[in-house]
Amino acid sequence: MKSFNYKKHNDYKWAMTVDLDRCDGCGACVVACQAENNIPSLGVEQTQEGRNMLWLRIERYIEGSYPDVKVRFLPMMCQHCDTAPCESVCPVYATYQNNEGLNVQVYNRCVGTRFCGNNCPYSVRYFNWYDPDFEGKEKNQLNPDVSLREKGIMEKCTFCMQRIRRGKDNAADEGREVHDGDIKPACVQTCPTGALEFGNINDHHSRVSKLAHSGRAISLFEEKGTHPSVKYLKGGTADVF
Amino acid sequence: MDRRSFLKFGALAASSGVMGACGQATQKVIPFVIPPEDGANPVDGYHYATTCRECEAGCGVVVRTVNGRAKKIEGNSVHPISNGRACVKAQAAVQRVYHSERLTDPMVNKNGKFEKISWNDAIGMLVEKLKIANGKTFFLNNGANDALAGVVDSIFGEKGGNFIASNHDFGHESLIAGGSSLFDFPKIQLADMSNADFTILLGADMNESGVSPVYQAYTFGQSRRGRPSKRGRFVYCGSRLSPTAASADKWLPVPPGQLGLLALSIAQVVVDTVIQRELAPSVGRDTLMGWRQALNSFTPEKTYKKIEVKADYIRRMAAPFVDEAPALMVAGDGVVGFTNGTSSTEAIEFVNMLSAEIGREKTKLSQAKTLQSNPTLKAALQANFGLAPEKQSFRRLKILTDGMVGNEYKVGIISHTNPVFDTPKSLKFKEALANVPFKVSFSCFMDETTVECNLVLPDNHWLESWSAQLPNFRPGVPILNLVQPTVVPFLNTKQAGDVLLEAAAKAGIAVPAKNLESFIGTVIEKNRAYLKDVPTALDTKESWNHMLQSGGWWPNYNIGGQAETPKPASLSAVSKNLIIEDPSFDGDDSYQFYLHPYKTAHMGRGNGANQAWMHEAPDPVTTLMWQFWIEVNPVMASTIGVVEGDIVKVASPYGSITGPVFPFAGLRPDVIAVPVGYGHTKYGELANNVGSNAMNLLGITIDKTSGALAFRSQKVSITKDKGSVMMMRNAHPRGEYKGEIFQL
Repeated sequence: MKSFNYKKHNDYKWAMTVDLDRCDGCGACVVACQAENNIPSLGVEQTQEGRNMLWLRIERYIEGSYPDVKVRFLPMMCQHCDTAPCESVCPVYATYQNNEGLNVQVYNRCVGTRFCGNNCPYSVRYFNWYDPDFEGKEKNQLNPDVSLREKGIMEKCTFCMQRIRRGKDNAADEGREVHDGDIKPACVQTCPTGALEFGNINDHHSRVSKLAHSGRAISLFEEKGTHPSVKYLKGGTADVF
Repeated sequence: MDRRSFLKFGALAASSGVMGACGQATQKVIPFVIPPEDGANPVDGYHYATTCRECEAGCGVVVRTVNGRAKKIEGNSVHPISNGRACVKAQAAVQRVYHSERLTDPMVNKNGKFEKISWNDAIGMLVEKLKIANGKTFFLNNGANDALAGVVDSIFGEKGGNFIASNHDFGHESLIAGGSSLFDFPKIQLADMSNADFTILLGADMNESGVSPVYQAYTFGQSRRGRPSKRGRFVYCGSRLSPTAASADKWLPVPPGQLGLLALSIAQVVVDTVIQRELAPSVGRDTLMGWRQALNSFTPEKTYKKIEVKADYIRRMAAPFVDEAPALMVAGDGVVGFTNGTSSTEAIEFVNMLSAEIGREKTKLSQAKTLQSNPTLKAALQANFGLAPEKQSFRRLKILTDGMVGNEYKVGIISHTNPVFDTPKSLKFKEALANVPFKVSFSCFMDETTVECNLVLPDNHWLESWSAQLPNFRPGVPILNLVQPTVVPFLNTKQAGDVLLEAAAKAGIAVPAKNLESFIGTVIEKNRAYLKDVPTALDTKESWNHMLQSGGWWPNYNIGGQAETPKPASLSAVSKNLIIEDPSFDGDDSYQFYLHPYKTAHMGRGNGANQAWMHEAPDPVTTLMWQFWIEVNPVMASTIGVVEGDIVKVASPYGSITGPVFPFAGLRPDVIAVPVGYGHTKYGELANNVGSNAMNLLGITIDKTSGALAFRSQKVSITKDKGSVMMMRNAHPRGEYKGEIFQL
């Protein structure tokens, strides 16, 4: 049985499920993440150098050869591991797991050793080699909820922490707990096929909890003992003929 | 104010703030004393419902604005098309509003150099030209079925030599014509796959070129995993393994132009089985026998060589249409890109209709059908909020071009479309446009067509505009979408509809309203009888506000809940249409490959090419970023002697393009696939000189029935060229998760 609470958490333990049977690789989540989190575009030169800043990428796998070929998509973002390899190597505690299961990056503590990026088996941490380049009119589109990251620090998917915070604030204003579906990260909210789900896995009635406990749920690199908060639901191919 | 008074005033203001804060609960103060650990600082904004205008699907969206600036676009959760979801184009729309290259002021073209002028001068110039034209004006848009098109139609119409045409997505005419010629429903269809157990996607690429990408993707997800204990199965047939094909359970590489034949072959099996089993669909046995006779030459054993699919597979694909309804066939670009596009669509709709008839008798599960819209409302609003379908075909664009060559027009009005770039170069639109003495372009950006115009009028972005739109393709309910300004225009721009109304009135032409907002309000008020779900107790203003809050009007709706099965227009019509001609291709034997130009979700027909987000988000299949590519089957690549990144030259009788090769196993060996939308020359820094324009290769081959451009009917040759480039792919540097996690 997979463990979803390797560590003890408060009332909330945020988790995500990715249904590989639904994902059609459209990329709406990728751009939604860029728009929500003020992720700068790198341009041709930096991309040629092998740099990448997309907090969420869609990995593509090709198997077989013509005509029996299969192409598969796998959305990959920070897995918010319970025992995250990135946390133990940070010399300044810039990354740690908070009491809601989020792998948090404190930007103003980070000194840019990049140890965390090296140690992440999922390669989902991104280093700012330059200051973000938002010029002129483009500044208008920046999300005021999310700070811009400076040169020299590491950044990654936060599960849209700002939306979690707003959802909890709204619930607190109304004197209630957060309901299932109140909080949706940008990628989950936009996903046209409904492949992504997000919620409190400690709430056994939540959709994400039911999916994560289904027979299709797996973790990536489970053998490394990272205990990720992102569960993938197997699928994509079934025999037709 | 001097420095001392400023400090005094500042101190007073600060102390007032503290005094005010003392009255608040402590928890309100602390979050700002201790900075949030993740740097988040929640600021609520205002949310406005409107309609996305990045394509013609008509998705309802909600825009979050903070301090008068649009920040984020999400799907409108109560909208029947978007169902709270949004695609990559909608997500990136904010970047177009605040794009550094947006046109800021009206400009006049003086010998190739653009100079800023005032709006008064610009409108004065347009008025003067309209007066001189005295008719002989053409209007060309991007296929938008919206209030602007309606206003133009009412101002200019077809009187006195005026001409109206649209440059919309290739092939949609055939989808509409194929659906309407066979059945008695109003030329509009949208497949709801949400309840289908088995779906055959015939060249139907939902995300890239689907008629309603978000709706189709949503119903795909619902079919796959949205129903308890049921999983919809999908087979994709087509020449290239597109992202949609990758999402299907099985890909069958059918040769170009043969998908209609496959549909008829499946139809033959279905009809034969129905007769054998003595199922009694409402059409009657005599009719069935007639269909059997008509389909006699399409048995799987007779067609499999052309279709290149085993006869056994064809029979197995046909089985669900008889045995386990609901099953569905969906047509797409892979069908309508050929000269037999309309007849192929008819064949596909015939199978859907037949399956519906059987399904209703046997299982009463007939929801997964091609859906029907409300003709009454459509007739009432179409005249005002859109163009008639017959004004929207490629054939009409060709007639317009010929008219320009024959000096038939004195004024040309072009709105948000770029035919110089995105129509086949062999159409020679640019050369024809030069014959029109005065051209005006309404646009947000400079592009290859705008730069050829005499007057450039910067339009508001749709986030700053009023409009109303009738989606061309929609589920089984009538939908009226409203577009409202979510932010105030921050540049010296004006809405095209308002400018045209003002100019036409000044030129002495009768206009229906003084601006677009009042035009929309008047039309809606006139048609309130049809908008039945707007509470009748509300007065005009309240019902208007009610619609604005929702983003438009549509009846109460549950997905799949209001499906109506299309009825055959006449049984004799069905028999008559059960034929399919071979596709014809342009190019002699020296051109051995079929060209497969395709749209990507990011670039579209080219309008995404000036957006950094669209370049940075990797292409789903190739994972390439900031780059153009030419896809070739790996076996063919080794025959030519090229590896990934080597430059190849693709040539047709009309032109040639070069680009780096991407060997892709999901492509037929006799097909060369090229994404469209690349190769701009005058569309801004990010777009210019990135790759080549596939339109340079195309000849003008038209599906005679619908008038659509048969854009996949071109044959080409491919040769190795000099040099190679590094391919910029986005991938996991170390990870491999192949195999079992994708297999159920």
